[in-house]
Amino acid sequence: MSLLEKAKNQSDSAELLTVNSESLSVSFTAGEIKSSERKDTFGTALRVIKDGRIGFSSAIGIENEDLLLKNAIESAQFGDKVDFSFASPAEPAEVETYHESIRNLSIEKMIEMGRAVADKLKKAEEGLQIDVGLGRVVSNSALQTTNGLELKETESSFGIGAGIERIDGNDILMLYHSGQSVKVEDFTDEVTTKILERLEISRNLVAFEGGPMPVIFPPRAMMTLLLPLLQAINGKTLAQGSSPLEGKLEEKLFDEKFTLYDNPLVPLKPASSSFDGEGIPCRKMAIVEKGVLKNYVLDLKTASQTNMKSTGSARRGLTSTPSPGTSNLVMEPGNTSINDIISDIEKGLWVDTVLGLGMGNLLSGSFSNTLGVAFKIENGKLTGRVKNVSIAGNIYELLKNITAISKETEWLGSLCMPYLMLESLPVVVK
Amino acid sequence: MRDRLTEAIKKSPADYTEIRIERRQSTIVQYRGKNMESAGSNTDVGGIARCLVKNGGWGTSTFNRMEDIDKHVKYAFECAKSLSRDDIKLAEVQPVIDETTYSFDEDFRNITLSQKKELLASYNDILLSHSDSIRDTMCVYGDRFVDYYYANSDGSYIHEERPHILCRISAIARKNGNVQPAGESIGVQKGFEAVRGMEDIAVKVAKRAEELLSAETVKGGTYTVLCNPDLAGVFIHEAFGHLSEADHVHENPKARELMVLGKEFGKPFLNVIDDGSVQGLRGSHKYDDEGVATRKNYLIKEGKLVGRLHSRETAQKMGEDLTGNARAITYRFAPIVRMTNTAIEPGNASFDDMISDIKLGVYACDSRGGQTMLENFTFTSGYAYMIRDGKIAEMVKDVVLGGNLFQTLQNIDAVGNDFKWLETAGGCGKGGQMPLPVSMGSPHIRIQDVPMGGR
Repeated sequence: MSLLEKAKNQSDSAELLTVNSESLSVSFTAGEIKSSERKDTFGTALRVIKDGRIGFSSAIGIENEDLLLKNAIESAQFGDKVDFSFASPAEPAEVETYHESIRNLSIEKMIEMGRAVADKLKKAEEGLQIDVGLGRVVSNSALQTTNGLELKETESSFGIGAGIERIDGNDILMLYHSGQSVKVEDFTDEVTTKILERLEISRNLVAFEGGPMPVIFPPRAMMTLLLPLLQAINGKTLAQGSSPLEGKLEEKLFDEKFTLYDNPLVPLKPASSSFDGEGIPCRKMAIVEKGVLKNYVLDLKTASQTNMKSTGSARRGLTSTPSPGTSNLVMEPGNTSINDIISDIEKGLWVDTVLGLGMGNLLSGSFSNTLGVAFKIENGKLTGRVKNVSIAGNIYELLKNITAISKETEWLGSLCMPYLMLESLPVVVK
Repeated sequence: MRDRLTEAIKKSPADYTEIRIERRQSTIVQYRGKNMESAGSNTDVGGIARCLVKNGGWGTSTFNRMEDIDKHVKYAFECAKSLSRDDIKLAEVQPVIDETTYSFDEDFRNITLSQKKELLASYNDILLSHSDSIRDTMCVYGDRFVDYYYANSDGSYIHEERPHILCRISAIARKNGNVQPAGESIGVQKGFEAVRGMEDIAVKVAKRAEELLSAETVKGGTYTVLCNPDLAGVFIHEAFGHLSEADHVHENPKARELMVLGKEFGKPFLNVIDDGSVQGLRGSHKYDDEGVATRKNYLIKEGKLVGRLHSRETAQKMGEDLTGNARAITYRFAPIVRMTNTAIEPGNASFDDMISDIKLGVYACDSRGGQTMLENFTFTSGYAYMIRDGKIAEMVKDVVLGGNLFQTLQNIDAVGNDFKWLETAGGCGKGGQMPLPVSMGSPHIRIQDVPMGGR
């Protein structure tokens, strides 16, 4: 008898996930090759619903099915009361989540790529502390439920990340960039260019007076504005009754220019998938469309707790239960080029990195951050780096009036973001 | 297991090979407010093979199937061989053969999930029923039993049983938009007996959260601060301990400049240690994850920097003694230099003497998060009191201490005689390996001229 059949005998319904993955990574520290690591993982996770309560257990490595089942059943004794069933068979959308090039990528080639990045960065300036990491992963997962679902998916991903640390007296500058894809892509140029162009501007420290002023959020800083929204629309927050956006679907909350999609079907992106972690088919959906709130992000449990349907947003690892989360976040671009947008700015701030992302009372829509790296905009140009700057604001007020969104967008990990300009944000300089 | 590992190591073509295997069984119970969020058990079994090759580098391979040990030793060798760099050498250590089983007072593996749930629920109930102002709670019980095996090509073989248990209870008080948290935790390497009898602690936590509601924000300024052992312990770990990790120092020229042995860091009564050999503490093990025996290491002695923490590689590189501080959070990671149990040793001052000298100051207690960047740090204290005319006065909140580490260490002008090891559930993060079990210890300490934000 299979584990799933045994589980069926002892519970009302069950869901079994098995994951087999293999990864290879290479890291450079202080500009030199440091280590090469291979990681093979094999594990199983079981959820059961028994007498209306849900239980969970995971077993990595060990193949003792009886112990796994016993733990899951025991866990269900105390589990949350739930009102949903595990996924049934459904038609998935097709999306490419695996590419052969990953399997053929050797350590030697990865080391070569990493070295190319490290050398290019070294040439830029003496004394830079350089770290580079590359990794490739192939993972096979199988999901089965007692409702007849039987899914198999193979996923691959590849990424290169590099960071520099530059110390000049008491000034510590850290810049980072990475590229990721489902297939092997040479990100060496992108990674080095994106770091070096910011290093160029950063070398020049300029004086800066605070006050209300226009602020530009480039793609890499957009999460500062999106995080409060993502938390508010998350099924967990809604189920707890803590979301300020409860009951606000179909309400216009933001500027018309603001359209944000959760798109799990973008080809060749590591966060893409045909099915979510619970076997629900994935689909592209608008979170915000022309300023109107269109969808929350829900998995089976949080959907049943809020009397809605799963949006196919269950994320999970092997050792914990699924929870709702977004896949690829894609923001609709605007009509103006970023150069035209900043050309009108006499004095403003360009946010590169923030410290302590997520600090502050996110649920109220607030963000409050000291800036790690930020630049001064003066008469349409980035004239240098500014220090000891912090910004704060509330997105439910600020995003009602977005001055401009660029037509250029950039992929960073699972985010595809434009540049966004806010007319006036209070900027504090200590 | 010993034969299995020895055989696999013998087959390895690498110049140095080690294998670490862990069988991890854990149970967790979580309450959030009235709801039990989860209760369940997980198992996790796996290992790591690590190889070093001359003119190559470190290669590692982690796996979950024991049948694949040989294959993964080979992968680790291939990884190591593919790198090419200057020789990495390891400090010599006498091979060790040691097998120890843990002898429990109350083996938590024999306590049912139901009993664990009952105990946590009872603490949670104390919090929830304390008063109307307690609106939310977060309580976690966790235990983990690790059957740990280590062998290397020098001839070491170690089998150790590592039990971990923790219980964290916290409450959030709310009134008119004012939200104040309070919490306490226990985290040790002991049996179930360690988490029984926390009723008084639960009452204390609820009371404190409620008291914080009516506390004023501290007035901004520069104060003499009396730190309780909990805050002092976290301070010394976060602000100073990380700078003592040799791998960080070695790779960072600025850090190396700051941490010169012999440099005066504080007054002669300041002594700081890291000791991974203290029985029962969260950060302790008989041997580190390279088979090096743990021991008491002096970092600051009589005010001067006298040592740092090492792995075999960093000890060799820097020409310093081994300290037994190579740790990996699980078999999935290679060990890096980590702290174990870090402490400020007791001094001679009594609490009464330290406080009676303070005309106006702050008694800062516990830590609620902080950040360090090289030698600059900030901490938020969990709760605090004003000190007026040598006595503890009204409670204050939002006490954020910050500044320069070296300045602050120099400003420690009294070290108390009331040392204690904090048996709290501290977790340390570094290099993606978090939360690594650690603990801290300290007596009360007094620091002059501490700048504080606030009103």
